[in-house]
Amino acid sequence: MNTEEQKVVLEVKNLTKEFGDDAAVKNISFDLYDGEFLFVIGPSGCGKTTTLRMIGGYESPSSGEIRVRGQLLNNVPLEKRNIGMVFQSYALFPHMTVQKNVEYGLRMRGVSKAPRKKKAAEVLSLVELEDYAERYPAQLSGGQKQRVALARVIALEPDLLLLDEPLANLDKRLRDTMRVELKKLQEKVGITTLYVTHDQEEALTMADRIVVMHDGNILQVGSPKDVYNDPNSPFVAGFLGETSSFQGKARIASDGFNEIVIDNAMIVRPTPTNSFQPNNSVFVSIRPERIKLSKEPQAQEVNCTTGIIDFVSYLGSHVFYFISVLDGASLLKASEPIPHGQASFEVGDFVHAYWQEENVVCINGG
Amino acid sequence: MSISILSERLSRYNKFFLLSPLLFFLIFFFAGPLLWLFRVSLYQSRGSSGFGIGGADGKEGGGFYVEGTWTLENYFKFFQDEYFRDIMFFTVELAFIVTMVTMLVSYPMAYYIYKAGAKLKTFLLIIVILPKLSNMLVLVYGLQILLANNGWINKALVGLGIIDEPVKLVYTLFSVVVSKVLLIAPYTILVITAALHGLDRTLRDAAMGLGASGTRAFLTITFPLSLPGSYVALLITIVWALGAFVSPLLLGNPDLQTLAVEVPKQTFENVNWAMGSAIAFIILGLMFVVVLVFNLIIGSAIKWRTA
Repeated sequence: MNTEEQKVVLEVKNLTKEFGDDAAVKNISFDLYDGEFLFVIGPSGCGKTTTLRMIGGYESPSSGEIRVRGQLLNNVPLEKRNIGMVFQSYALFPHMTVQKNVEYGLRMRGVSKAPRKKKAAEVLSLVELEDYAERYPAQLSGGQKQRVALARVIALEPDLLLLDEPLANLDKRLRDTMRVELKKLQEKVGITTLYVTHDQEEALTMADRIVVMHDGNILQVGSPKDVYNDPNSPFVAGFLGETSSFQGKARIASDGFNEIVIDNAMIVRPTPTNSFQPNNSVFVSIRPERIKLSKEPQAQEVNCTTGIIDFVSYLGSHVFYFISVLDGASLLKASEPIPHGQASFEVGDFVHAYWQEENVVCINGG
Repeated sequence: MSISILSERLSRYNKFFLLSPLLFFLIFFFAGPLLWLFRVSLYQSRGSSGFGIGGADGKEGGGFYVEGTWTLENYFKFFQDEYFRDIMFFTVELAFIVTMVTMLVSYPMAYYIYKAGAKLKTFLLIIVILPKLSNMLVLVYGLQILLANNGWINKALVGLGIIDEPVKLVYTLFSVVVSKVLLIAPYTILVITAALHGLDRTLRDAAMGLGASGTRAFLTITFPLSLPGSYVALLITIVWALGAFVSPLLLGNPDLQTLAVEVPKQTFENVNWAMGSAIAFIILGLMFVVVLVFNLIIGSAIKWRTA
C-alpha cells in the first residue's frame, strides 16, 4: 500500500509520555500514509490508547513530536486540531438527535444551517442511517450508535481519523459485520485512519499495516502478513494468532546445518538463511495450521515430533489439537480443516507431527 | 417442609424485617399524626381567641375546636380572608426569590467543586457541609448579630467610607433571604455536584474534539446534561423554601411572615387548632402543586432520556 511517493499524513517522532515515574509510552516513532488504515495493537496497558490520546490532543506528550501534514501539533489545542476521534463508548450527546449530533462539529466551526444539513444528510446516507436522523441516541442499537459516531467525525472531513477500540462494546456477531462495514467505509471515504485495539483478529482482517506495541515500546511495524508470518519477537509471535512456542538451544548438525534442539523432544531446522551461534538460546514458533499430523512415522528426522493428543477443540470449520509431546513438557498446537465435518484424530491418539522448514520462526534469544 | 423452602420464606420475611424499623417509625410518628392533623383541620373552630381554654369536656365554651363536627370552613375562611391570602402570596414570593438566589449561588459553586482536583474538592465539600454541623438557631442568631446596625458588616462599610450611616440589613427581606439561602444552599450544592459527577466526561472530550471551545462545550453539553439533576436540586430548594419558618420568624418583620409562622400562631396564640391544622395542610398542598408542576416541566424537558 505504501509506496515511496505516498504522502505522510501523520508523523510521530520519539514520542514519550510519563505519568510520574512510569512511562506509558517510551520514545516511539512511526508514520502514517495518506489513505492508510493503520492498526496499533497490543495488550491493555501497552500504551496504545495513550498514544492515540496524545495524537488527538486529549493528552499532552512528555517529549517528542506529533506532526500532521508537516504541521507540529504538540501545542495546538484539541479543538483546533482537525482530527476526528471515535470513542469506545461512542460519546454521542444523549440530549441531541442523530441529526444534531452529526451537525455538532460543523456548528462549532460556524457552518451555516443549509450546508450543515446537506453535509449531515450526506454522511448519514454514507453510514445508511438517513432514516434515523430524528432519533435520540437512547433509541439506537450499539451498531447504529457506532455508525453515528463515525458519521459525526467524517462530516468534518478530518485529516486523520482515530478509532479507540470502536468495536469493543458490540457483541461478537455484530463485531464481525461491523468489521467488514468499517473497512469498506474507510476505503470508500479514503480517510487516513489510526485504529487502536487489543483484538488481533480485527487487526489481521482490516489493517493495511500493523504497529505492535508492548510495554510502551513499538516491537514491530508491518503488513498483517509480515507480522503474522515473520514476527520479530516472541511477544509478537504469541500476540498475533495462535502459535506453539518453544525455547531451544542452537547447535551445528553433522551436515553443517544450523539446528535447534528443544527439550530433547524435537529438533527444529530453520531455513539456511537463519544462523545461530551454537549453544545460544533460541525462541521457536510454529503456527498450528502449518503442522501436519499423521499416524504413520515420517521419513524426515528433523522438523518433526511425536506425541499424544491431549484435547480436541471442535470449531465447526476446523479442529484444534493439543498434543503433548513425548519426552518433553512441551505442548504442540495443530489445526486441521474439516470440510467433511469429521476430525481425523481423537483424544489419546498417538500422532507424528511434521512441518516444512520455511514454516518455522526462529528468533535469537527470547 | 424442605430446608430450601424454609430459607426462601425466611429471606422473603427478612426484606420486611429490614424495612420494619423505618416503617414503624413512619407510620406511628408521621402518617398517623398527619392523618390526625388532617382530621383536626376539618373541625369547626371555637372562634379566634383563646377563651376556650379550660373547657375540658369539649362541650360548652371549652376545647380547641368543636368536637364531632366535619366542615371545610377553615379552608374557606383561609382563602376568603385577605390576611391569610397575603401571607400565602408572600410565602410563594419568598420561596421563588430564595430558590432563584440559591440556584444562582449553588450551580457555579457545584461546578467549581466538580472541576477541582481531588484535594481541593475534599476541602470545598467540607466547607460546604460545615455550616450544617452547627445548630440552625446558632446560624440564624449569628447572622442577626452580623447584619445588625452596629454589626460587623455595617461597621466595615462605614469604616471603609462606602456608606455614611449604617444600613438597615436585619429584619428585612434581605436578611430573611440571606439566612434561608445559607440554610438550604449546602444541600442544593451537594445535589448539583452529584449530578455533575454523574456525567460522562468523554462527552466533553468529544465536543472539544469536534471543535468546541471549553465554554461552548460547557454551554452545549455539560450544562444541558446537568439540568435533570439540577431540577432535583431545584425541587428540594423550592419545597424547603415554601416551609420557611425560622428565618422569617427571627430575621423578618411583621410584614415578612410566612404560612409556616402562621401555624403555631393560630395554634398556640389563638388556640385555634382547627385553623392551624388547615394552614399546615395548605402548605403541604402548595408543595404538592409545585412538585407536580415541576415534574410535568421536567418530564417534557428530558424526554431524550427515556425516549
